[in-house]
Amino acid sequence: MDKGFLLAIYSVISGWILILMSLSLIKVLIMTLGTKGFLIALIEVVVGFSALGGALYLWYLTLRALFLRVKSSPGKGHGGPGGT
Amino acid sequence: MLTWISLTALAMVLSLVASELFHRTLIPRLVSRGYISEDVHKPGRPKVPEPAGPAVYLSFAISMMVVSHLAGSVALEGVVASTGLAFLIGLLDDLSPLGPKTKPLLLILPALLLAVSGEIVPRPYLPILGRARLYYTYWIVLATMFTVFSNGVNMMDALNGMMPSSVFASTLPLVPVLIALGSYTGLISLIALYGSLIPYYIRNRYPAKVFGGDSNSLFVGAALASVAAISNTEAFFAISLLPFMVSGFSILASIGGLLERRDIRVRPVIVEGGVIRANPDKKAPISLIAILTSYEGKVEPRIVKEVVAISLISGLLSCFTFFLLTPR
Repeated sequence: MDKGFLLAIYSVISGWILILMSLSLIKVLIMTLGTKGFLIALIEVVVGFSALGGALYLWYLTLRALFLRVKSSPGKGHGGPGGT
Repeated sequence: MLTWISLTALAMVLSLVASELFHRTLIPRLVSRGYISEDVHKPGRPKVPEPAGPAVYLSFAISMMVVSHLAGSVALEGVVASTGLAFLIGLLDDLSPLGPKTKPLLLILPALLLAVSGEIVPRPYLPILGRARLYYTYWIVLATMFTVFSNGVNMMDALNGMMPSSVFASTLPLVPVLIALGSYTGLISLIALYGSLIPYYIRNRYPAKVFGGDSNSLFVGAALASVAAISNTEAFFAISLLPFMVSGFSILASIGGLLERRDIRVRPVIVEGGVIRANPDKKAPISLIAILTSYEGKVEPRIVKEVVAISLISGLLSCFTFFLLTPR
């Protein structure tokens, strides 16, 4: 198991946790605001999707930072013919 | 119950046999008519016939139409129609490439076709929340799901055997979920998809004898979205297809918009003597293959094995989420 494979596993598990966290936030909103009325339901949906979108972008930024770090400290197979 | 088991078995056998026969018929014709692509990840860039999409889709459609006739299911007919439209969009793209913004927009149409079948209930099961009522927003989610799944599967169709094997690994753990929900139309559609993909996988695995093309990958993505929609398991399919989203989302975010795979200027990976590794250029987009090869260069079969392992992990996470974290 190399760092690249571990990073790929991290990307999937962190994505899964983010989905569950966004849904937990929606559950808190539903329990706090209730589900009566179109406006409240709309607010819940908008906040829920915004939270998911924001979490996905944060996930991308952390993944990118880790990816660049692993890529700049490569292991075997990077110094072969034509390697940089 | 017994009827559904026999119908599921029939769907599997029919799609498997039809797909095998269509592949045997189609591949020599593709070669004789010059429908050939280069396998860019291998030394010498061997020539491989493409697209095998028609063999995969037609076998799926025949099997589904026979079963829907026997079961009297409108939902199965809706799946055949919507996946057929996605297949045609893919075939159009194979013959004459569509623009990077046109393709995702066109992929909303299969979702509309499935919606007008009248078999979609906008009440998806969601982890943590249970069964939701999304009467207004569901249709946007449905259209987005078709585009995201189809493009995700398309992005995953990059190495020999990677797309079909990762589809099997990520969605097999969802079979118990469909059975637990009693969604037999979803189960039949998924099993028919497996049946039509097995002969393709045998020919597409390393070293590939055929490529599926966009007609195949867009059809498979639409089929998975259709199964998710008719069984109300959208969230669980999204979790199980997370490795597909990793590639799609991070490429989209790192290049800052919609681009065709062939139009991305700095490639995510570079190939040297059959060894694939992440492009050292900091501007190179992130893809799942780039992540896997970020530490060390790897040969194609090893990367595919690792993608299958990751897909299986996400499939099992999805199954676990359904049985342990979803109120029913």
